[in-house]
Amino acid sequence: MLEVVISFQQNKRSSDRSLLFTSKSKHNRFFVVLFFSLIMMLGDVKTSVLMPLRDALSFCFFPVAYLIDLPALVWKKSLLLYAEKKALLSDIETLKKENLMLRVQLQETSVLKNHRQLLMHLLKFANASEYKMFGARILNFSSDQHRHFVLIDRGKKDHVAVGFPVLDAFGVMGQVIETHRNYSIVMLLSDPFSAVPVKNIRTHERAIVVGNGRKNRLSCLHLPKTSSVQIGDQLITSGLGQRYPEGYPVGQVVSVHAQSDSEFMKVDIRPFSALTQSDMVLLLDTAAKG
Amino acid sequence: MRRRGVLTLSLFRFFMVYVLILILMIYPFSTPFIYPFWSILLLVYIQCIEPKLFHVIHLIFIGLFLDTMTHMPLGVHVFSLTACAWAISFWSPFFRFFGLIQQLCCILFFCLIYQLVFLFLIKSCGYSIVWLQSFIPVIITVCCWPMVYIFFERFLYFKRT
Repeated sequence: MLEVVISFQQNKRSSDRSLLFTSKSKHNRFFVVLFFSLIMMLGDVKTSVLMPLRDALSFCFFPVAYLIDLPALVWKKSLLLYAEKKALLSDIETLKKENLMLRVQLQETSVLKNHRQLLMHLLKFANASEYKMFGARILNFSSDQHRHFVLIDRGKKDHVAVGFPVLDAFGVMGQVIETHRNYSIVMLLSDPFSAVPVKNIRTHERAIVVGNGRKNRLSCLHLPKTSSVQIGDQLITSGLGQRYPEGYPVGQVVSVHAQSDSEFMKVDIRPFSALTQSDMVLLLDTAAKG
Repeated sequence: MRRRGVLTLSLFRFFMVYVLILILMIYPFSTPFIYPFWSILLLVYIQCIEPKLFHVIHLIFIGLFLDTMTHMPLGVHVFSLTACAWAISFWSPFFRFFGLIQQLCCILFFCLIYQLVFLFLIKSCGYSIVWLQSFIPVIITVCCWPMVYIFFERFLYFKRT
């Protein structure tokens, strides 16, 4: 007990001394870092000056990110060791990609059929097979609860550019927002900063579907109370905004509420794409024709 | 010579723990809000128990790492960690002599500072926040401290003079 008291006294004395002699510089260091981080934050939020720094940091930290994925990767690989090794693996890989391609093409066909019936062959819808498509594997999901991103294994070396729409087997999944040499970052539809111009297949009304931070629900903006939207209506991309090509399935209306304090309705959408389950996606090169 | 060897081994252990903490901080859990603030626990340990190891460069490194890996604006985590470390620096000389409950209260206070500063900054940057979910990690961090402390004491043993 006595030892503890003495040591506490000594420690207190030394801390008093440190407060007298070194605390000012110690606090100054904290203030310098605070100031530095504030400047960096402003620079990153307001301008794109720090993009090269972010790029360099991503490159530097990539080994750690790889290290994080390593246990899961090793586990998957060890399970596959019992199968017929490389040939079987490459076959599965090829078949998976083909299957994904075919399912997307099937979606296009059904969507085009609906369009043809409803618009009486008057409108020409974008045939998505015009665009060059290529598959990618999802490496990682963002662990941050405020943003919904995924990391894919295609980057600048595969000619991926910012703005490429990303699809999975069931519908639109998001768009590429950052590209690096070996990988890219995709913002999912459920991200609070995501917005997709859509139209209702049944009524042809246009609206904007935005993310709200929930993985299995999206919100629909700018639908007036006079709108005839119903539960079960299917929404597809409208092609406005030049980002997503026209005619890709986005989601289905699951609830419609008229709000007393607003001129617009509150519409919840269930996305068609499996935002959290997919491990293979398709990138659409909207600049190049296939 | 022997003392030098022990010091090298200890520094190697510290490096290993550092990498482990970095990995744990961004490990993709299925429910991202149920995890402790490993960075704060490490910070409390090195500032209060092993102050010789502490340097502000750690804050910048860990902060930038978190900002990059979680795709947040650069500087958000650096700012929150520095604010928290600054608060810890006032308590660090006395922390070792506190009882367990007092230590847990201190850690709760540090975590609250960190989380409030962090939430304020990301709210200012335009992010949406779920308040209740954001404070679950604070409670979990406090609960984890005794285990983490024992682990650090066993694994990161430095000869104190």
